[in-house]
Amino acid sequence: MADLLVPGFWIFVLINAGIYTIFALGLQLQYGVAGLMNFGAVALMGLSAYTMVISFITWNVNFLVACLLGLIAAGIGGVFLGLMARRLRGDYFAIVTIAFSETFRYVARNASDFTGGDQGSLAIPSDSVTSSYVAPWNEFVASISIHIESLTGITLDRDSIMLIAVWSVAIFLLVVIARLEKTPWAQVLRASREGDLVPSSLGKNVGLMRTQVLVLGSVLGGVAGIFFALQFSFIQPNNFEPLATFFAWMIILLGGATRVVGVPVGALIFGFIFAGTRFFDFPPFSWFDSADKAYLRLIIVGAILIAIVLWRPQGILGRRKEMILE
Amino acid sequence: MNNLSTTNPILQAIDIFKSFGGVHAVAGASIDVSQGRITALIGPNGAGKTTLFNVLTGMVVPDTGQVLIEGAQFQGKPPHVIARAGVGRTFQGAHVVTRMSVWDNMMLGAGNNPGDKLRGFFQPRARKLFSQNTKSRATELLDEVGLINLKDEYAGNLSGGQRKLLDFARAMMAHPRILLLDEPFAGVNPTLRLGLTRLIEKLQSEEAVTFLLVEHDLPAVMKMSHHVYVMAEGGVIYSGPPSGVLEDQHVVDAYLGPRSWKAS
Amino acid sequence: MSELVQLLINGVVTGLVLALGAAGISMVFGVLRLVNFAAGDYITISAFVAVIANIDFGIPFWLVIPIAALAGIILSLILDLLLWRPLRRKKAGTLSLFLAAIGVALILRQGLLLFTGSGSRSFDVDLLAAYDLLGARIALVQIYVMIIGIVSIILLLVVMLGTTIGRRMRAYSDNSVLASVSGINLNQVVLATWIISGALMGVTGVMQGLSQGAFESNMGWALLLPIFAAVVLGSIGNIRGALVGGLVLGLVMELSTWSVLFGGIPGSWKPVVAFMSLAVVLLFRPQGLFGTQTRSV
Repeated sequence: MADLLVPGFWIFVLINAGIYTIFALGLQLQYGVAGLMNFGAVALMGLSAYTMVISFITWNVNFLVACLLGLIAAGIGGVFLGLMARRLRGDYFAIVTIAFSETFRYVARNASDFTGGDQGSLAIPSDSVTSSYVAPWNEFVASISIHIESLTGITLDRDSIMLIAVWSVAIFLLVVIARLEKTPWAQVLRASREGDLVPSSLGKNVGLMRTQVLVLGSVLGGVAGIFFALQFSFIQPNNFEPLATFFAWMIILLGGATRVVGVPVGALIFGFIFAGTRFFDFPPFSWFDSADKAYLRLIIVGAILIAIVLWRPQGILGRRKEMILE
Repeated sequence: MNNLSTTNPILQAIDIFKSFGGVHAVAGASIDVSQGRITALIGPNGAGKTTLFNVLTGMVVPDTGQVLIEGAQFQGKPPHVIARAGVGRTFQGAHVVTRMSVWDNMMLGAGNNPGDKLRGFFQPRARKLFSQNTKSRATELLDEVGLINLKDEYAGNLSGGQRKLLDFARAMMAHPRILLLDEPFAGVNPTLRLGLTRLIEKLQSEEAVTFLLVEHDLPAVMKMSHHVYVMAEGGVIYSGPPSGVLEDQHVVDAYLGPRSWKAS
Repeated sequence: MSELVQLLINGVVTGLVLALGAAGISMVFGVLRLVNFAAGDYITISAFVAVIANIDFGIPFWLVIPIAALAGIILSLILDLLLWRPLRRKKAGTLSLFLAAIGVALILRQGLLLFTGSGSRSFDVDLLAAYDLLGARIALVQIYVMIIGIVSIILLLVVMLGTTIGRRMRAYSDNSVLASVSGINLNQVVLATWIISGALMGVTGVMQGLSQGAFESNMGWALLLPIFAAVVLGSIGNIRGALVGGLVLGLVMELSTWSVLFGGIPGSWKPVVAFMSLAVVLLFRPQGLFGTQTRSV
């Protein structure tokens, strides 16, 4: 249990929680406001990450522009989802989004000439021997670290600066989206959960607004994707499998899907449960070795999902009356 | 039979044809709705009035024919475009957004709300100004229909009659020039029917709202309408004042069956 | 020409697997309005039970087929009792059921990994034996799959078309309100649905396990999206449609690699063909090939 106190580990956990916060925020917007069952959200994260990485490595695009291209790619993915949402809702939309997500992953695995295939970003064609994209970020981090040290005498390592960066962006986005969810635009989307008839009859272009929500949500996923890529310095297709989307769903449900403030709460709870189980030395956890503990963790995730559905659909922070998980 | 009304038509359906899977729901129907008047569209079940109504509101695209709003073509345009052209509507089932309050339902109805658009996010002052105006309109309308005390209640908790009133008030929020009412008196008790009739007449005379009602309930409609269209089997068989409806042979045949069936 | 024959053989094999899986999933949706996202893991677990019986307990291969069916049935019934029934009582909606199914899928797959480890398994049959057929090679396991598949389809059709319970299930699936008013016992229909679909999942597991040669814990999950594609193609809730949809999709998937078609799609992209088919069908004909009513999407 002494390992529990190593700060580096918890910083790592918090960084992940921050990335998931941004990712899940996109989902909260899509589901909590517009009622869209997007189960393929991780693909937008991956689309953004891969676009940024490939732009930088293969086409030698400026790093910041590459990040922007990543976000644009995610946005385009959102437009595509918007087209699908015009025709489909409910189960069918959910299934198509999963198909979309898995298609992305398969393309990433098979188009090795572009994406490096199963070997991931290291195998992306470039001028150098191994492909890497983090140099600009690392330089940025290093220069910030030096500045902070000279100003305050405190030494911050790469992870600490990443922590500050991720959570600064996360908090900014949380505030902005919270405001957005108070506008009439958001109210129309909430009304559209019960059907398009009423909002359309009142002059609202619901199809367009749904697309807007999907694009915004996807771009948020794109932001998360870029942080993910920077944090791990390496991406591969299996980083973007449906399980990540399911985690994000669990996060928004834990926190109460209708409220933005539930997202960071859910992400932190999820992050700590997930990471914390590594350290539990007491039964029943002590009966399992670490490989098996990985399976156990996912069993717990599944159990929590079922528990929420059965017993507390409004999540931890939600109010029963506003409950929209039906 | 003269299909055209005498005063200037603000809403017109011209030669509408629509069939579903080989069945002609509407076959060559034309109606004109005069500005500032109350027009009724009646007919037996299966006459095609619902389909025609859906064509007018943009829910159904006609196979051929035109829909003109103040002379401009709108057939085939989606419902929200028609709504923005000043045509409001109510629903037979009195659809309200059940998980929102009565007040929020009303606010939803406000037309040309800068906050509706995504870019409105960056226009807080415009939103604030608009919202103040909208609030007074909503209060006024809720007062008019007697729902003001329920404004914070979830719309899902309202009774059927109350939902009808909310549907109506909400449709009025955007100052529509034309209001299309889908069986407004269906399943409505006499007190409420009276209230709705008074409301319609008041809005017609005070705010110059043009009304088109699709209805089954003949007596209610006869008393308040200026002009009546009767449909049967996809076409218009009568167009004229309410007083002539029951005397028209085509109408009698349509509702009661051909003359030859009656014992002569 | 021989390439075409080979692809047709492969297509029929894939098609039979998808057909039976789709029939099971379609049936559950038709009666219970549940998109059982965990069905992939019902398939996998049944296959593992069968292979453990076969390899670890030495039970002859042909006997483990009914064992797999039984495993599928038991798993389906237990989960209905523990989860789907309480959710039905709460009148859980689309999203709740979807999330619960995902939760179940996670628990089942990880539970399987916990108990059996992550290695791959194979049935105790001759995986390499193959015969010449019209210029192509048909593997012994492919013949087995065809036999099992065809027999299963015949049994399924006999049950669905020829028995009272089959008729009741179809009636319920077509119009649940009318069916319950006319006195059809819902509990009986639900029970029958899980039993039949459970057996189908089990058999599908064995067939896919044979067809793949070696299989792992994600076998069923990888099949799930193509199965959904077949279900939707055949019109959701329509069992005959599911069978046709499965066969058609299987053939499409294999034939897509035909070199005559612009060099053919590389084999590893076959799942993408299935996903794209799913998206195309849903976008352009959501009621599937056989549906008349447009489902309220």
